[in-house]
Amino acid sequence: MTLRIRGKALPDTSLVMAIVNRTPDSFYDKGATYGLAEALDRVDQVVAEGAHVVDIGGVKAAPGEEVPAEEEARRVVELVAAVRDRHPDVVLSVDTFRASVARAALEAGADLLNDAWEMPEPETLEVVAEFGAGLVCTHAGHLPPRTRPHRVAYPDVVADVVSTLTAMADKAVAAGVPREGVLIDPGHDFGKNSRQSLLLTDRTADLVATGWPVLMALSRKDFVGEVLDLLPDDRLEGTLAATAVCAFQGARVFRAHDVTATLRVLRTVDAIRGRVPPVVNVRGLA
Amino acid sequence: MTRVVFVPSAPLLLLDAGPPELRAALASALARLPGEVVVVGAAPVPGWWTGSVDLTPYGVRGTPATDPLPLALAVGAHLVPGARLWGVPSGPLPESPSYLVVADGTAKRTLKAPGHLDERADAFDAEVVAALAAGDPHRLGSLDAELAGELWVEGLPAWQAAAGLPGPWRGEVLYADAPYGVGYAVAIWQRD
Repeated sequence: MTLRIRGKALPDTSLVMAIVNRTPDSFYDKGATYGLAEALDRVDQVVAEGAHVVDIGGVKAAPGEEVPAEEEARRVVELVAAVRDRHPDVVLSVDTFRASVARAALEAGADLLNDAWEMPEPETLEVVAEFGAGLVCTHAGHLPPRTRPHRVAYPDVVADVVSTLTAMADKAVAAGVPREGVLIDPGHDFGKNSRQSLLLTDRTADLVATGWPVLMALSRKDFVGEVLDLLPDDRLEGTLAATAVCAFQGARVFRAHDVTATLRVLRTVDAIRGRVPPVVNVRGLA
Repeated sequence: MTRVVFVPSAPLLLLDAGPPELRAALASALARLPGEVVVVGAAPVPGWWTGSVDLTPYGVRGTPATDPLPLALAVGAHLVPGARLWGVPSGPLPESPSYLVVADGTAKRTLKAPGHLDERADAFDAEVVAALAAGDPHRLGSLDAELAGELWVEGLPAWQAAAGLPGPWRGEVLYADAPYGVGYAVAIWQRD
């Protein structure tokens, strides 16, 4: 199915959503793009590398310093407006769980709302529908925003994710969000231990079978770190392995820190699956 | 006016691949073929062929054809859709205002060539190109068949068939190179 986010059609290949954090404290970049100039440089770079979507966030996911809505909006809107001006065609996503920040960002030209916390503020849905924007519906284990999983248990985590996300997606469309702009995200690590995230990775096909395009946010997360006993700086290979497994099963969008590496993995998987042809056709064909 | 166009027999042409210079030469040569064309190419059975261009044997996804054409005729059918297809070696070619001869040279031109480097390959392909440039059917028909086999030349039957077309011809070579170690030539013969 062709993804169309606020009027912008995306190619029918596996896609990369590049992470740009306007935060002083996110787990991997640790404030490297907190400043506006640094954040804009990062956006320029990921767009040049070929990212299809740029995802801007103003609050780190994990518990930490409280960021008031006004401060979050200030961080996000300033960057959204600047990026919209410089890159009018890129799909611009905002990572927030607050309806007020979503509204401000969509007014400033964002195309997609990436609510990673299962939409704790229900009025967010009306805001997204009002702007005809896209929406990522994410499973966060039914936890409040910015909480860590503690002894989380599900009778069947895959079934919980599938039923939660299909209900959220149906509800979004019923509320007026354009169907071609709705994605689902199982929310690796969010309300999940590593085994649960690994199981969801293995069972990507079950999510794909819902018919909703699947977004996977895997990049350098703890479930990769626990598999390998490695810190975020050393989680690239594990992330790319998980990326390949999910893409092979049909997940469409990958939220990533490492754009070029992820694009190369996805291009290779897409070629293996026959979704794209090789760029060069010479070997054995001359 | 009768015309004969010579093109390579590479599978990559079925994928519309190849270097830009080759693509440009092909486009230019094919544009000069009149409407009615007989493709001449090596085939396991001589004479008229009908069938489908089947890319699945080369790994392209799809349903295999029940009537796949041999490579040279498939390349011809792909380049000139609707052309009639004639498999060689055979007796004399059927009458036609124009022919597309699908044939290429050695596959041993460079160290990275499919058949690795054979130092005799350059001279063999140069002789082919000289015969095409001169529009000389006798010269084209006099290539060394045994050497051609050793150099992995697949185009010999088609060239020998073209050599049976009575001249004299004005020859013009639009492209002659071995970008992937296989001798490719695009050329035109014409007579009034």
